[in-house]
Amino acid sequence: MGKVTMTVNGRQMTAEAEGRTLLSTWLREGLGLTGTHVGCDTSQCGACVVHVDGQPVKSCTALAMDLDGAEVRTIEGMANADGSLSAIQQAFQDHHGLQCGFCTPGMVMAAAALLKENPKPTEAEVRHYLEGNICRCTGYHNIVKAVLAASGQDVSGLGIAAE
Amino acid sequence: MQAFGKSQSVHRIEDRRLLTGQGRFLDDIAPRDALHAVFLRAPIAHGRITALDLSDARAAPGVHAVFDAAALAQAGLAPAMEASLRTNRDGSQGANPPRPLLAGDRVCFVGQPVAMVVADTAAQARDAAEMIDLDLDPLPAHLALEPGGPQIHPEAPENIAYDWAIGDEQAVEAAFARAARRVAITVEQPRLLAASMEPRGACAEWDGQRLHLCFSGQGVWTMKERLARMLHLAPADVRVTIPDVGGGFGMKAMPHPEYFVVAHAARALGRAVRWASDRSEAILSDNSARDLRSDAELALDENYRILAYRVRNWSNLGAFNSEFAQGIQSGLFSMVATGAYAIPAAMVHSRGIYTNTTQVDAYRGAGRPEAITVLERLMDKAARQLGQCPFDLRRRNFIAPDAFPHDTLAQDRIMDGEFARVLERARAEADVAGFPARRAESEARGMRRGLGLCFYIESILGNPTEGAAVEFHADGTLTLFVGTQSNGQGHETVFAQFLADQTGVPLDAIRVVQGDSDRIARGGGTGGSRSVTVQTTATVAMVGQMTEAFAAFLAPELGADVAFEDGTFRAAGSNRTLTLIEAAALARAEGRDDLLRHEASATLEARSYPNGAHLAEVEIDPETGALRLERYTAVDDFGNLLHPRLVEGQVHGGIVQGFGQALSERVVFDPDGQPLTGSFMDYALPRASDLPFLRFVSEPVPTATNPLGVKGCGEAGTVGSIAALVNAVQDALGDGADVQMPLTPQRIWELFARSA
Repeated sequence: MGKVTMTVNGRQMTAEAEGRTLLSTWLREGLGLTGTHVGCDTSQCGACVVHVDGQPVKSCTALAMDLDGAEVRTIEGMANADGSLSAIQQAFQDHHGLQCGFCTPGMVMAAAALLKENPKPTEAEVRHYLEGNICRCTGYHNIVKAVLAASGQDVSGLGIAAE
Repeated sequence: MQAFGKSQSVHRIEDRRLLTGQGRFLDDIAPRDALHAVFLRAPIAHGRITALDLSDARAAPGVHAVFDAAALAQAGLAPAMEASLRTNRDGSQGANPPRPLLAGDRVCFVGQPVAMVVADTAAQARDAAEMIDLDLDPLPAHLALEPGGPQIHPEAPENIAYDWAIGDEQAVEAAFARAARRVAITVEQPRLLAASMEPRGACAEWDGQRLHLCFSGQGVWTMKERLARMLHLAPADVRVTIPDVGGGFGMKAMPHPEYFVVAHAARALGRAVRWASDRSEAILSDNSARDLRSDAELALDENYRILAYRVRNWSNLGAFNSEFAQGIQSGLFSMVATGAYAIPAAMVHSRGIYTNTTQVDAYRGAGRPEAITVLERLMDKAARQLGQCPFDLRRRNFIAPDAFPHDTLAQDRIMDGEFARVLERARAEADVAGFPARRAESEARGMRRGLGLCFYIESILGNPTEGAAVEFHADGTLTLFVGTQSNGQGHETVFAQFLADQTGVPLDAIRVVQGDSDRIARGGGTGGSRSVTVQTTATVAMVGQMTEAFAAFLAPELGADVAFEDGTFRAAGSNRTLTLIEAAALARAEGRDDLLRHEASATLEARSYPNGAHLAEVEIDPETGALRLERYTAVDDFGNLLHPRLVEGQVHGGIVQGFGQALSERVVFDPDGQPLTGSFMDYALPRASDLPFLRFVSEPVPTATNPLGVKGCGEAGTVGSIAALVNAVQDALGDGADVQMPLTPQRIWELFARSA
């Protein structure tokens, strides 16, 4: 047991960790930041994606103790400074890119990482990048649409056909 | 009363919290001082417990208690969980072997809970669970989906749980005897996982007299009743709540044993106790889905009209009856067994089999995707075998628009439908005319292309009665209480939007409350695609009652002919108008507290039957078996759409759950009953890269069975997609053996290798 300190969403935060404490547990139980979800424990579903030093990381497979001093961004730190939704979050709402919302924090964090790396991805690039994030509700259609929209691309042809 | 059908896609109210990490899922809101529960589970599929020593675990650091079957019996808990039973063909009841909360003398499947440790931290509880000494004498396991083999329960000879049938067997036999043509198929549907992204969990608190259980579920009232009975508490002393739920899909509708043990522990220890399943545990212990084999046969006359249809099902129930398991592949299957067709004679004969595996129960569609998949695989085969166009064969046999109401095999009534119109719209929307050219283009590149059609009909299930209540607050807002339960579909938005639409109260002045048995006396929860239909019908009834009461209250002031129109009360002889909120404020000022709360319930006149045509177009690389879904078109008759964007989302998600069943998902056990698909590394859920954009087209035939003319949409995507996808692969393969799910690349490669 020891103290681990990280800069989380711009603030220095300290909480206890055992050697086996996962970053996801440290965030959820140690700091009470429960927006980061754990959906599979085997690094498959991506509900737990956070950014560590600017890179997307599945926090259920990182050890908190290894990350002492790291800079971490979680879903709680994604909105704009004035509290309004960021462009990616807004696109998810505008295009119904979430249903139950459990996988959503990881989806938003993964999408943000993609758009940083590749500001105008193709549909295929979005789908490939999100392979490590599982959603059971949406069939991915509206998630991919939201990410394309957040990158400024026209998605008007991807809705319900007119009656 | 406002005009109905103000169909609009407003932003979801729940999105903001879910997008900013402020969602309130079960494990996000557990009390900080709650103790953690961890279960020890059976490591083998079948065995006698020869020793269970809890002493080391009880002495481990941080441990408060360890519970086993003996501890629960000593505390006086009821010895077994409840389940609904089928009536057998001979009039007897289906088997009812006791399903214990914790295994007593025997374990019957890998993952069956045996003991529960409660400790200060989850890590301490896990460590202690590993210190429990469990000795087992292995017994032979029964895994085959057939009667006989090693017997699991003395109550179920030959491992047969139930033997049920519906339909006129003599009429069916007679029709088969005189039929000009007969077509038969065997359809195997794999065992699936609901795999909600949020695993199950529960948190219980005891205040000395009352129990509060918060769990990730689909409705609070069944759980409340069961808890009261199991723990011998007065119902008034049990409160059940459901917070944000990360997907349920039918699986979370059913009581599971862990909830009762967690509740008991909270009472026994006088402390809050929380349990959150991890994924491996979820795969072992959540009710599984599907897992049936169907032998189906059609009799047709010389004009390709169907004379008779019969299906024989073998349904795998797992080791015990789960809540509704005996009803799924029997009663619910039969609800839509004959689909959209006018079939003079039909029968369904279903038998349930116990195996040494996890229980099987409802999952997205519960019996209806299974029934439609069997029928539409057979219609597809009939068209191929008889040299008919699959569109024409279906058209020829549709129930005609003037033949409603139509009495079904399950003795229900379908009130409306225009199936040929829906089918023709799909043919146009999917550009079926252009398919030969697309196929030729694929073949020129060495690929194979297939087009698959499924025409489905869906039956809305669940309790046809629902309630709605409103309470006006002093600050000019109101609370709407509903008996349905969102699992992520967006009910908060839809029901608030609907009430706003009906009353003129601004959307942001309405707060929706659901999932709290202390605040809502009864309700039906979410399931069977019921929510929008029943909840809006209840709201209409409540609004009617409420506006009448206010009109009577306002009559002395405004005039006797006061009416509520466009969100205001007005009378012909007065210029004064009041909004509903203003009327409530006036009632409050005059001490009329009876007008500050209104409640009503309503029952649907008849079930609605959503229907539609799904067309899937796949391209297959015969060298590798790799499949790409190139186009997917769903043309659905859901009646009127209340919130089109949310409906579209339901369709997308439903289609992709069907895609998983058709093409990738399957729970696999080894010959000893050990699950081999124990994580998402082995159980193949659809990923973003497996799918294209999907096309949803609404072709509404509004129903008269409810005031809004809505039909329900929650499960339809899954009902329609499975056969469409499998038929597309069968079409790409051309003639050949009937293909079976899941059509993984390996299976597809083998099929092409064999047919080459």
